[in-house]
Amino acid sequence: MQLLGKEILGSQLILSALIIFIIIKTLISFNKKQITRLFFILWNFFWLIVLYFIFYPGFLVGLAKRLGVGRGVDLAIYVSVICLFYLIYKLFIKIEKIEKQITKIVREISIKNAK
Amino acid sequence: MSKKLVAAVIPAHNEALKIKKVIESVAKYVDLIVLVDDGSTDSTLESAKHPKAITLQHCINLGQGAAIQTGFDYLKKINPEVTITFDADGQFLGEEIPRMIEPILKNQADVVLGSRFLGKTINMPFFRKFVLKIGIFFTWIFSEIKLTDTHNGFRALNKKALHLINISQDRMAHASEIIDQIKRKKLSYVEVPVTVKYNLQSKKKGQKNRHSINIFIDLVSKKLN
Repeated sequence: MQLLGKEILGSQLILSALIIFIIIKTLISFNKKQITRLFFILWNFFWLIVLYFIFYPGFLVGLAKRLGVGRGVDLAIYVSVICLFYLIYKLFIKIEKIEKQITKIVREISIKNAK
Repeated sequence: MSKKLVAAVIPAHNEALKIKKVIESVAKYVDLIVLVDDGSTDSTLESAKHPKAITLQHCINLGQGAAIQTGFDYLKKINPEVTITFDADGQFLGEEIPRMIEPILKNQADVVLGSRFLGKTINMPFFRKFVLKIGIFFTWIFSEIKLTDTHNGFRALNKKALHLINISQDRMAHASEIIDQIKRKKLSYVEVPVTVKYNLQSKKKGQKNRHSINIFIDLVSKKLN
């Protein structure tokens, strides 16, 4: 398929549609003030970079070759798996912390209202 | 010298049917009962009214470990000579309290732990016994304390132990955590035989065997943190 004089692959089309969807969702969340301005900027910046690499993977391919990974896609997958693990770890810690805080609040209320 | 104050912490979650009897049986042997209602949805709190009882209510269910620690926190200000923990489901016998607190009144230990394997068990299912034995083994591995019973809710603490023990495991892993802290905070302990009655309701309502898996996960993640 041709777009702006450039050959477009099916995978590029699907991925970019997904990313545009994510960016629109982020915009809606930002408008509803569910996320901070900093997160909004960083998050969109990240997806715009991904979008760029989908159409111009040259840099990724070169980097992957230099690191001995082979394909640019492989490098992207390795990096994202590591990032996901780290994110899950952070969420786990955060939930533990919130649980502790809830316990503290419930405990203090109960002691204050002792009958 | 004035009489030494003995207080009991009873964590309760949906025990409206049993709690009155349990409180009456405990009240004969202690000066003060702190009943912690852990987000019950039945009439546990109303059924727990007693002249010796103070009731604390968790507005949501946090777990037995959290309820016991709430009781401990409340008692720290009152600073009783002995604090006991007692289950609300009627598995323990109130008349065994004097035997449990004796080592503390005689300054022989900081913590007294009830043991059903030293004492009598009535109608304990075989599989429960098997799971408890595995629990004892893991406590031995984790905390390096060899006990005969690690998940027994009948305990007695002196003032020092009440202030040093701090339960961070909100759910059932608190039983192992208490033992871990006894070891780490260098508290002295003795085991005293107690009777545990297994009846139909306690089998239905109490700890399920499969909870042992959750306890294991809670403890491992705590060790890794």
